This record gives sequence, C-alpha cells and structure tokens, in this order.
Amino acid sequence: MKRVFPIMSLIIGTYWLITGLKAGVWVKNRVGGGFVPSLVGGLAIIFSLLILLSEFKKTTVEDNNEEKTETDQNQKKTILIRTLLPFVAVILTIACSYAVGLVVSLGLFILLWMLLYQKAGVLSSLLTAILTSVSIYLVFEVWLQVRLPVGVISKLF
Amino acid sequence: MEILRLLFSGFASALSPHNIIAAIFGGLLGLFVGALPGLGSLTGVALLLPLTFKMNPTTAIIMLAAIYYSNMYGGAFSAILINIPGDSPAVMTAIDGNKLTQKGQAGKALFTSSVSSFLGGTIGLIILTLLGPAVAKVGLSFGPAEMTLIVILGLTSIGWVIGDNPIKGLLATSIGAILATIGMTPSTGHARFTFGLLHLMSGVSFVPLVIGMFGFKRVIDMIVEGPQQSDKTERKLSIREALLNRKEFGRILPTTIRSGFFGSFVGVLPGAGATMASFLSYLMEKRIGKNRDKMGSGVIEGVAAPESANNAAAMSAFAPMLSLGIPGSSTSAVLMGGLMMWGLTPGPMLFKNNPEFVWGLISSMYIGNIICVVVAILLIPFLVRVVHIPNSILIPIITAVCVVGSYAVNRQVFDVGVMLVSALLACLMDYADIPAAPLLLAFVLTPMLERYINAAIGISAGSFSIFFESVLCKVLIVIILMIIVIPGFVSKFKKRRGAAE
Repeated sequence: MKRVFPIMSLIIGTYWLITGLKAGVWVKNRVGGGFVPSLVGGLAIIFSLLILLSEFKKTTVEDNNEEKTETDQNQKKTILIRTLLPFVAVILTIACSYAVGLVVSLGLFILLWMLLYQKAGVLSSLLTAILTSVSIYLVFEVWLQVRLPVGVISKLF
Repeated sequence: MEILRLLFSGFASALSPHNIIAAIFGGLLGLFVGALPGLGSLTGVALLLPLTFKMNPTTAIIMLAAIYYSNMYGGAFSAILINIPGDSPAVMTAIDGNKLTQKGQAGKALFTSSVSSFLGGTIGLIILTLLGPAVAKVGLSFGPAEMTLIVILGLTSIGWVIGDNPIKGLLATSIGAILATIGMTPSTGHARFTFGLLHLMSGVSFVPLVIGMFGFKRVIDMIVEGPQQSDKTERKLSIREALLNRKEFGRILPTTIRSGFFGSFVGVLPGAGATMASFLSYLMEKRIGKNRDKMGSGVIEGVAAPESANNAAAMSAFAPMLSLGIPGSSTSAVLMGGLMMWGLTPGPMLFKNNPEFVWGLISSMYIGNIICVVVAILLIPFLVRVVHIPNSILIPIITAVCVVGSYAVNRQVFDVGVMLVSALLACLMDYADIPAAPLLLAFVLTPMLERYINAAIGISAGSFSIFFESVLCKVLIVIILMIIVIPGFVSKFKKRRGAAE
C-alpha cells in the first residue's frame, strides 16, 4: 500500500508532463498553457521516483527480516474494509438522494449507520437522525437558501 | 494626532446603537458561518450583501466587515475540534489544533486561537489605522515579478517545513500543483485536463478538497481506530481550565506578535489574502520559532501563528481596498463591490471625501474584534462538548456535514464526488506517510503562481530578466536559494557529526 501513492503520482506526473509539452510551454513570447503543468508534472516524476527507490530499498531489507503472520493479514483486511465502508455509505446516500432528496437521505444514512454499524439504541439513533436532518434543512435550505436536491419522490407531493 | 482625532470621531459613529448591533450581528454570524465547513467569509458576505441594500452605508459595511474578520475566528473552531477547517485560512490551524484536541487539550487550543486572533487582528488594525495608505503603497511596489517569487518562496518552503521527509513533502506539493492546473488556463481560457467533464472547466473546488482530505479522512480514521480509541479527551471543561498559564502565554506572545506583523504585511499584498498569510506565518514559525522542532505535533505555537496572521491579514486587507481601491482578497473584492453599490468610490479620495465612513468602519473593527474574542472565549466550554460526543454519534453527523458542506459550495453533487476522491487520496498519502497539508497549500498557491508568471512575462515581452531587475526580486531569490540549499547542508552536517560521535 505504501507504494500506491508514489506509483500513482508517477503516472499522473508523466501524463501531465506529456500533455503540458503538447499544449505548448512557450507560445508567441508568452508562457503557454502547458508551462506550469509540464513543470509540476516533471517535478512529480522526480520526487515519486526518489520515494519509490528509497521504499524499494527499505522493503527489501524488511522482507528479509520479517515474516508475515496470518494475524497481520487479517488486521490489514479489517482496516481496508473499515476504510472503504464510509465511501460505500456516502455513495449509497447520494444515490438515494435522487429518490427522496438529500436531507431525507442523510437522515436515513445516520439512522441506518447508527443502528446497523454502531449498534446504537433505536431512540438515540432516531433522535440523532431527525435532529441532524432538521438542523441541516434549517441552516442550509431555509437560512442560507442553498437549494438542496429534493429527489423524484418529493417532487410528486 | 490628526489620525487619533479622526479615529475618535469614528468611534462616535461606530458606538451608535444600530452600528453596535450591526457589529454584534455580523460578528456572531461570521463565527457561525466560519465554523461551518464549505461556507467561508466570501459566501457569508455574498449571501448577506443583498440584505444591506437599504441600509446606511456605514452600518452595512460595519456588518459585512464584522462577518469577514469574525470568520477567521470561526474557521478555527471546526479545524481544532473535528479537523475540518471552516475555510482555507484555517487549514494550518488544523495541523496542531486538532492534535491538541486529540491530546485532550481542546480548550487550550481554542483559547490560544481566540487570543491570538484578537492580538493579530489588533496589530492589523493598528497598522491599518496608522499606516493604512502608506502600507498600501508598499504593497503596490510588489509587482507580478515580486509576487511570482513570493509564491515560489511559499511553494519551496512547504515541502521542507511540513513532515519529516522533505522529498515526501515536495511530492505532495507537486500533486497539489498538478490538481490546481485542472480547468481553464489563466492566459488563454482553454480547457486543460478536464477529461471531457464540464464540472472541471472551472477547476477542482477547494472546499470539497479540504473537506475530503481533512474532514472525511478524520471520519475514516475514527472508524479504523475503533471505539476503544475514541475517548481520549478531557471530560469537563470550564473557561478557567482552558486559560493559558503565564508560561504558556509567554510561549505564544512572541509568536503572535511576529505573525501579526507578518500577516498584516501579507494582507496588503495584492491577491495574497488571509490564507497565504496563515500558510507563510506557520512556515516562518517552523523556521525561527523557539519550539520549532515540535511544530506539527500539537503545540500552541502552531495554533497561534496562523490564527494571528490570518486575522491580521483580514484587517490589513482593508488598507489597499479603502485607500487605493485594490482588493487584497476575494472577500474584500465583494466588500468593494458593496461600497460601489452604496455610491462610494474606494480609492485615495475616499479618506478625503467620506472620512466619517472610513473612520467609522475602522473604529467599528476595534469594537467588533473585542466582541468576537469575548464571544469566542465564552463559547469554549460549549464547543469543547463537541469532542465529548461519542464517536458513534459523531461519525454519521460529521459525514452528513461533509456531504452537505461539499454540495453547498457550488450546489452540485459532483463536488461530493470530489470530496470522496480527495479523502481516498488522503488515505493513500497516509499509508505512504506523506503529509496532506503541502498538497492543499500548493493547490492554493499554484493558480497565483501561474497568474503572476503570465503577467510578469507579459510585461517584459517574453524575457525572464524581469525576475532579476528589482532589489526586492534579488533579495527574494537569495532567500529562495537559501531555503532550498541550507536544509540539505544542515542534514549532511548532522549526519557527519552523528557519525563522528
């Protein structure tokens, strides 16, 4: 996992450098639209390569010294699941907002999260969900006049 | 003496009941809007501008100005308590502020933030009062070439200052700069790196990026840590417990004064604003502060420096706006639009033709600043309760705020997606021990860099010699070179000394 970000940076940096160079670094005695992108793309390549090299050296030494236990693997798996869970929850909430609106959808998210994941009591979950949704509605929709998505079902009424 | 006479006449105007009410209302609103992620001072001022159409111009500007500077106080609240900076100037406050909260010292962090904000704001105000027009002229001597070098100075310092490994900091800086180049080019208006997405034409929004990298990332951390890690903070807190002792106050005073003067200077620079002031003052503190080695691990100096600087900058940004008609930040640009709407023309003649307006405003800022610090300190015991809320309740509530906060900026669901991608990026950076703050700082500074480079090269008709012409440029180049070269020498020297020992 440690290498994912530097590798990703290397790929992005290369794309930025090439696209920047194509867009033009210097156009008619002026700085072109590709000047800064190619510059920062080039820098990203250099820094990610330096990090990858040092990581590679470190991991080779560690691999020789340590054995990977089954507990370590399970721990990593738990961390990965716990990391991805809120992402999935927010994506589902947004998908649900197209049907019932953002405020209701967020209320449902809070309720289900507290009941199913946190194993909280029904009353406290319900109270938190309602209070948060009403606060969000009053602050954003009523007071600040930020039009929050209403959803297909809400439009029917 | 003339200034004092004008200031006192301004106090006579500012102390009228309706102006005091306007300052209190603006101050409270600014604290609240500042603390809400996704709604910065710009949104607050823009939202309330239509309400001031029928107001007396002095009362209207007093209210809007109060929203602006009290926002700097409010932005720190959410940064310290839940690691979500209310707006961009509070990004640096989150670094040490939230670590203090995790250590169980949320009260001290909030008190430091309020006191430093007050002192920094007062320094900015005194400078605005005494040297307003003169300081604005100094700011104007910084042309595009000097400003380019100032931004480069900021960018080169970031990587070295934040985190243990400069290369990792510099990689984060590069990625931040890469993200900032998405959207239309400042020179030609052509779309670049938008991948056919219309939403990316105006670039990646800063607020969802910050919410994702700090706020939603914090939610993920809380879930990963599990329930056993959630309760590290103090249980009960009164204002007395949050107060700093004499030793702690002695620690933050030099930092606050330094950052206040520095922030005031940055505030008058065209286009720099409170965000850049807080970034640079944090970097300065990490270089020269007495406790510099501990910065980033949760020390009060790390809260005092950015908070003092951003408040000082918010105050001093009024100098170029009022005396020269040049806004120092985007919020002061909106405020300037308000002045024009009320039939006033910002510029040198404003001080001469409408002294009651200008001095009424400046005097009201002294009063508003006092109101803000009193309210902010009184709120501490209530604010600290936020960290006592169990994670089981806090996690879904913060998630909901992250979603709505990201959506509210541009009113588009796409920004919620930006928030999620940013959080994912922050997780990957965390796995690789790469700090997130340099990425955000570079994201803010790169558009400025591009704009200033374009302007400088345009003025010099394609020659880079403009960057070596003025004395200011030469001094800045020497400082940049020193920042790049010195840390390398220092680490080599330390290694050699360690090997010899």
